[in-house]
Amino acid sequence: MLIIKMKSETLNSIIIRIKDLIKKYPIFLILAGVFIIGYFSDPMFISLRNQKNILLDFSVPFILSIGQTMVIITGGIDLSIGSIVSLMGVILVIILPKTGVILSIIFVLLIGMSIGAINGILISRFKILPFIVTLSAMIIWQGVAFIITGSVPVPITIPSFFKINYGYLFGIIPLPVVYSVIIFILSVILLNYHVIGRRFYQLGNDEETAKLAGIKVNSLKIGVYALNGFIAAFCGIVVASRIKLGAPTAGESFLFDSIAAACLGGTSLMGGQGGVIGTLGGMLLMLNLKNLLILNDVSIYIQNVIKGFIILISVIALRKVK
Amino acid sequence: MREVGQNYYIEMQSIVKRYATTVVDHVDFCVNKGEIHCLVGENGAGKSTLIKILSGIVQADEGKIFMEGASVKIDHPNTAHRLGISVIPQELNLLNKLTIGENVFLGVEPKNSLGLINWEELYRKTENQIYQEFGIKLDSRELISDLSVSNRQLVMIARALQWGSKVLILDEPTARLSKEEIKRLFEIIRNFREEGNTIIYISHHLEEIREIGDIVTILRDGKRVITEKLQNLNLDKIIEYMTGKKKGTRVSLAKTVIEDETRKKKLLEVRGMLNEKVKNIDLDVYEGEILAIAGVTGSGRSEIARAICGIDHREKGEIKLMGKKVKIRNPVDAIRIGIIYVPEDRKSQGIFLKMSVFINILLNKKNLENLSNLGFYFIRVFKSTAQKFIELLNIIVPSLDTPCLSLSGGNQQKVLLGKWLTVDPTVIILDEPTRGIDVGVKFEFYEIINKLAKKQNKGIILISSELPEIMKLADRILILKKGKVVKTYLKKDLSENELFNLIITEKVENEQKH
Repeated sequence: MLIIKMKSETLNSIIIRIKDLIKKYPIFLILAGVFIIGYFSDPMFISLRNQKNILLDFSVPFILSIGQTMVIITGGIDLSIGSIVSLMGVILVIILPKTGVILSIIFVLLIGMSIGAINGILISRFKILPFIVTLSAMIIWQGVAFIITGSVPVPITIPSFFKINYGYLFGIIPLPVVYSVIIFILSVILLNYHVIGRRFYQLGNDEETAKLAGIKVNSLKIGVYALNGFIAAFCGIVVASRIKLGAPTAGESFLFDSIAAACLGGTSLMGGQGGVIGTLGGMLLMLNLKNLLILNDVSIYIQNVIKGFIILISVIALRKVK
Repeated sequence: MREVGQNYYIEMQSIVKRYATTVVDHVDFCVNKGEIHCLVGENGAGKSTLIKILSGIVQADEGKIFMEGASVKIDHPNTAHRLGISVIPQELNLLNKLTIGENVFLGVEPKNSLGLINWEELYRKTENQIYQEFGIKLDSRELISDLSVSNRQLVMIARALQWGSKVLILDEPTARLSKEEIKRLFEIIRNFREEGNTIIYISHHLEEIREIGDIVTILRDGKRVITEKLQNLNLDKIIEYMTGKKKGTRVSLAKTVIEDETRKKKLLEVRGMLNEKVKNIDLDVYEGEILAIAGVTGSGRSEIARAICGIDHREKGEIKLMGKKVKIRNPVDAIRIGIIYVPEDRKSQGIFLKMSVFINILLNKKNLENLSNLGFYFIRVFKSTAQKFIELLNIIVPSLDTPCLSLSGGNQQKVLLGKWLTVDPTVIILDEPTRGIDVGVKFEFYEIINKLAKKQNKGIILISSELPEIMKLADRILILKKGKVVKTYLKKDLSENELFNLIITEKVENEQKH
């Protein structure tokens, strides 16, 4: 009797915990729905191999959406990340043969961080709207990438550089997955337990109040955009290693997915609310959906239409849950 | 009378602040340790500027500030915090999407050397502190957006205490509180004083000031009139100092209220109105009558108005205007048939702060249709119409193009009322029409409201939490509890104390049932 009772109690507490999770991140409920539909429409969908492929596709967009989520939490937005990804690949083509892999990576990360910091400075010190600043940055850095290579992608010829994307941890886990797990864990700790992460939320809630509480609002803004630039540069390195090219259009597709994933995950574009766990759900939803549509031979144009509607419907549905 | 140079706890000496005009003119403001020092004056008297100077939000052009005899320079709110001075402003600046605990410990979170926050400690300490200081239990993990206004205020105070404040500046703290909540706040303020701390209390409610305050400084036109112990002043004297007018010359409202008992035409008839907030409301408004709706906060006062005007959804209920059944699906319908609602929160619901006075007066659908020509608006026609109402309501504005942002609260409220009078309504619903308005303009408003009913035969529904206001203006008083009409009384059958008891006891009975 006692054992049964205890069991039912632990079961209850687990159910309560799941309920809490769903209440906080209802996106996972929709995700579960996609999995069920996916299973019935094509059992291949939840096969290990297919899910592994999704995970490989998943890393870079997810890492970018983590950075984007943090910026959105502070009440801003960063439209320049796609251009930074492209620009970093192009720069790598030039400097890799001269400076070697390690130094090139450090150099590129520093450039990405500086580009982000410039965004942050323009936003905080010169009081220009984040949308305008990062839109300009997006156009400028995209242009610079084209100036460097012309419109033709340039191949990268240093084989050791390709390990960044194609290497494995313990011979089994693909490195991009390792990167995304590490960055995800670090960002969860930062946003939930570290004082700087909490400052992002406080800033996004009410800048004036944060200022009156003695919080250095300007440095915080510069910091979050610099961090995002750093993350984008890192993704630029992984993408370049993956496609083995410096392509001025390599980062084009990432921007909107990063914003959509954050919104789907419950991060409010007004700032001050949300988090990267929701973004994880949002990104998983979008990629699984895309994969499911591909498995069912839906054409790319129809895919986009469906994707747009799913984002709209999910955001409306999620609002109802709350 | 207090003078400078006698070693007060806080001494502001000869403070001057000029914008376009001199708003604070050589004011001395001295506060002793452990007193509740009230600061009163009409709007524009310089109270808020003086407080902003003391709390570091603006800097004085001239003058010095001393704390415990030492000269201090307060050039930033952070400096004020460090000196132990905290303001609890009218518009509470809290982070609404975050928890109580995080707000209380904002900027001073308990953290380890890596910067990781100790949430357990933070939440536990918050709960303990709120329980010890205020005697109530709150879940410190609750979000601010889920709290009542009065609890949010407590969170603000808890934060100030967390920052180690020795001086609390409360700006109109009771404006949105019910009677019981005010009582609780006063207890907290007194406890804070017993611990040897100091309170600066700003309010328009003179009765409140006489209840809570030890000493009062009265400002008028940027100058200090007097600093005096409250026990030495009566209400008339305070008003005299504030307005600079003797009692006889002030408008005596008793005369303007015409005791008109004869029931005239029924203007508005509401039967069985029902939604989530209000239950089976029946009410009538007659021509030339002021019907007051009285009840505690949360009893559904504003919700009745919102349901009548179609702002909130109605499940059931019939509304008749002048005997004819009308359909009101949204505010546009309500305005078209002549029922208007002047909302409680003028900043968020009534006025476009950044737009000019005349646009605000004329900005409603009916006007825009009447005054426009094929959809084009002619500024000249607009301005002359607006000018009429500005004169009618005695709105003090530099020019028609002045943005409403720069007007005083009283004048903003007049602009709002003016906007609705332009459509010549049949029934006017006024929600807290004099909240946050200084005494002089308040009386002017009473006169305007009274005139609207008695001279122009409008039907008026007055929603107010100020019982004296209800007693002065109303012909009939409808008592509301938990969204239900308890009873409607004739004003002449009630005294203010009886009214107060009715509202409160209904509340108590109600709580016992739960």
